[in-house]
Amino acid sequence: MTLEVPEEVVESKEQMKSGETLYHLKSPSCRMVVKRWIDLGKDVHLSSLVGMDQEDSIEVLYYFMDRLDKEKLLLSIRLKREMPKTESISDLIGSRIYEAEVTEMFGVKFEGNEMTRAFLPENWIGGYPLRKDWKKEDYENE
Amino acid sequence: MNEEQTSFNIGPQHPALKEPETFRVIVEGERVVKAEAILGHTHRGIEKMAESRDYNKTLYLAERICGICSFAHNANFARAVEFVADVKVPKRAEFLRVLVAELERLHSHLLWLGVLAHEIGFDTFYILVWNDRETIMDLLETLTGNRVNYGMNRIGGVRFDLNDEIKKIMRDKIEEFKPRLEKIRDVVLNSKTIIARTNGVGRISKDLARKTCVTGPTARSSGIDWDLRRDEPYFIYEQLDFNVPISDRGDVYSKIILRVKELFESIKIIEQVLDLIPSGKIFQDVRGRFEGKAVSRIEAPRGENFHYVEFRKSKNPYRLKVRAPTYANVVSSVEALVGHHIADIPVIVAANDPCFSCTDRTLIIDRDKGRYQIMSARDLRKLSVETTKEVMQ
Repeated sequence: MTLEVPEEVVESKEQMKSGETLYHLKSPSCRMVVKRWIDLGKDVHLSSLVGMDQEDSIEVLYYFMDRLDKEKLLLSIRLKREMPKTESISDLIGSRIYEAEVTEMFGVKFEGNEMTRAFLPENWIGGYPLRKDWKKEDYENE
Repeated sequence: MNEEQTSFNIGPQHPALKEPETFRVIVEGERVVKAEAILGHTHRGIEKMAESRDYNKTLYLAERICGICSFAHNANFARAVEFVADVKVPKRAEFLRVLVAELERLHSHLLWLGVLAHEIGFDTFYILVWNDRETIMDLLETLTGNRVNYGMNRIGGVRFDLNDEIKKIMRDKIEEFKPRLEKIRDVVLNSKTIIARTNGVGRISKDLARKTCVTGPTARSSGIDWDLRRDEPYFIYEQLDFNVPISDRGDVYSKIILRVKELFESIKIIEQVLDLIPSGKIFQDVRGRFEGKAVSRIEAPRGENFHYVEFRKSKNPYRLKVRAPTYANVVSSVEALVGHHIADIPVIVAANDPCFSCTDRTLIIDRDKGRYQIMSARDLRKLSVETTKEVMQ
């Protein structure tokens, strides 16, 4: 297996309906795992980040693929709902814009990534619209 | 930014193309030293809207993410839901999906080629290419009844079937189209105008392409040998015989040649589909509430199209995440601008086949001198056309 996720950092595994394995990590950051792949010279491709509101926490999913042996997997980290933050991996792989989207839609701070706006206007004050408790009425008069 | 440098915005509105986009560019004289893309002018909150619609309605919402590669989004969402629902799609439906996907690739690449020719002021070629594109649009209309937003898919299969009459029309039109495609290839290979304006321009190295995780023809023209149709076959691509063109030059010219080669491969695929398509049902009925998570990725004309869906014993998706190919490629096209002339901006930006290219309004600001100037898209294109004339003299 080329994209190795060390057992000691994995809390649980889950099988996606589309066949990939989803690794729930213990730590609130996947930087260590990704850095190891990059240091080992893997041909890693990041397809996307997916932000999720799990109601008790904010989850961030990372979809990785190894082009050499056509392996694909997802990493998942869980963050606190209040002031969620994690380490950015934008210096390792092209995640800059994906992280910015999760920042503005879910309020997750990625330390080390100065880009915080991807799609919303620069002067946006409407909160984090993809959180489940977001209501447009709360911001209508602002 | 120092006194020698000028900052200006390109966009967001423009009359020529599909979507608005802003590029904030810092130049020294005529040369670009830094560039940044400002996205979001057409953000419609589709992911949020999907959470309040059931999967059948979301299917049509997904189709409206993009007008040019609408089938790619539509089919990708259907495929993701089919994973969650554990549905086996009939073989005939998968053949029909490949047929429409390749027709869409043909019209999308031809549209792009025309736009690029227009950007460099080669309008004869632009009209010629778009005229040929009409043949493909007619075929899409014959099969599905629509030129865009075909409404081809349903969860569990497709909605429109092929009969012998349509099959014959397809074969005849494709035969008619082939010599015209050869003519397009000859123009691209021999036109001094195209070579002068695109050769060596906007180079994206393999390292940059890998680091920024670009996809599709943009990645393949920078030496990344990856095509989901061949490397992670979906639908029935593993039964078909086709090549994946690749180049390691990474400039705009190599992207043109690569896409023209892909046109020939798409024709090959369509002919095989028409020969091999089995008889049978075209859809499997799907009803009920689902539970589970799935990711579907397919090769859209512009690259990897990514959909994540999650259902929690519901008809409405708990979460739909869409990552369109331009979103992945835009970072590299911004990097590619650095070091080039202002007049090359439309060409380089158009080269990645984004859903935007030219500009309606360009605001030139010299912050240190408090000076600003507004340039229209016409002015910027004029500059590009003048450059073509200059280099051709």
